[in-house]
Amino acid sequence: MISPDYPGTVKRTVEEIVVAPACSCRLRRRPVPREALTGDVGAARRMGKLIGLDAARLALALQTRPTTRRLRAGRRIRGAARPVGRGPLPDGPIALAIASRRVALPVRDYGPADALEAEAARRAAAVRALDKASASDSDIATANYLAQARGE
Amino acid sequence: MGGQASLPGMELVPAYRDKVFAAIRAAARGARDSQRAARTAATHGACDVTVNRRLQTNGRTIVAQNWDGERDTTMTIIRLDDIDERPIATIVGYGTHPISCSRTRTG
Repeated sequence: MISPDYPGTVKRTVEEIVVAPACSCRLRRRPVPREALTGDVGAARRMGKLIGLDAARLALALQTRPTTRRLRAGRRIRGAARPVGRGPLPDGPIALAIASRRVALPVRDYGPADALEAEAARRAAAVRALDKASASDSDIATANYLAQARGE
Repeated sequence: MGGQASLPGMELVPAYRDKVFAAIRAAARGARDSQRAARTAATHGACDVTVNRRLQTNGRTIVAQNWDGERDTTMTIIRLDDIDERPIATIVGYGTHPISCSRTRTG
């Protein structure tokens, strides 16, 4: 999983405890963490640590067993869109290998930090200057968006 | 790696996507040549971190913590060991959006 948010901490936590590479998967259209939309990198670390510790606890409690292939070509399993397998699958232990590669995330050029700080202060001031009694919802939403936006 | 083409930084995506696909292909080729017999097990449990995200307020539904809403705390685990029960890998499934930091920095 590649993410600047909590999945990275989940991965590292599980790997430290179970002592094996870990992969963290998430599903779309799901809820949010207890700490969400905070703007705080520490929140991602805290949520990731909590999830990772629960994952490691479950993983360590498991006893694995030798596994053999059971699916036959053309067999349809429940929930699958189409039959599984192109040809006969041999019986025998599952063979497995783990490999990983690192790919650096591209980073946008945001320019000098001083200029960004000044722009952020200007946009925040625009929000504070709004008259809540007379400003339209659109003005408030726009100012709020610009205050939060980065590098537009 | 989708998203609206008009979003800031989207011009960086095609080259990044190509790098990721190339890395996946290289990893798969490397793994193919180093397979070993494995043991597996799977289970599920619960993790209490997740919270419903649809909050009704002033007649609108917004994305925010709805502490009383329904939620699914299920966590699924697959563990893969070598034949001597030494861990090879762990796969963790947990359904919560990675938006602890901010909605503008999801992954």
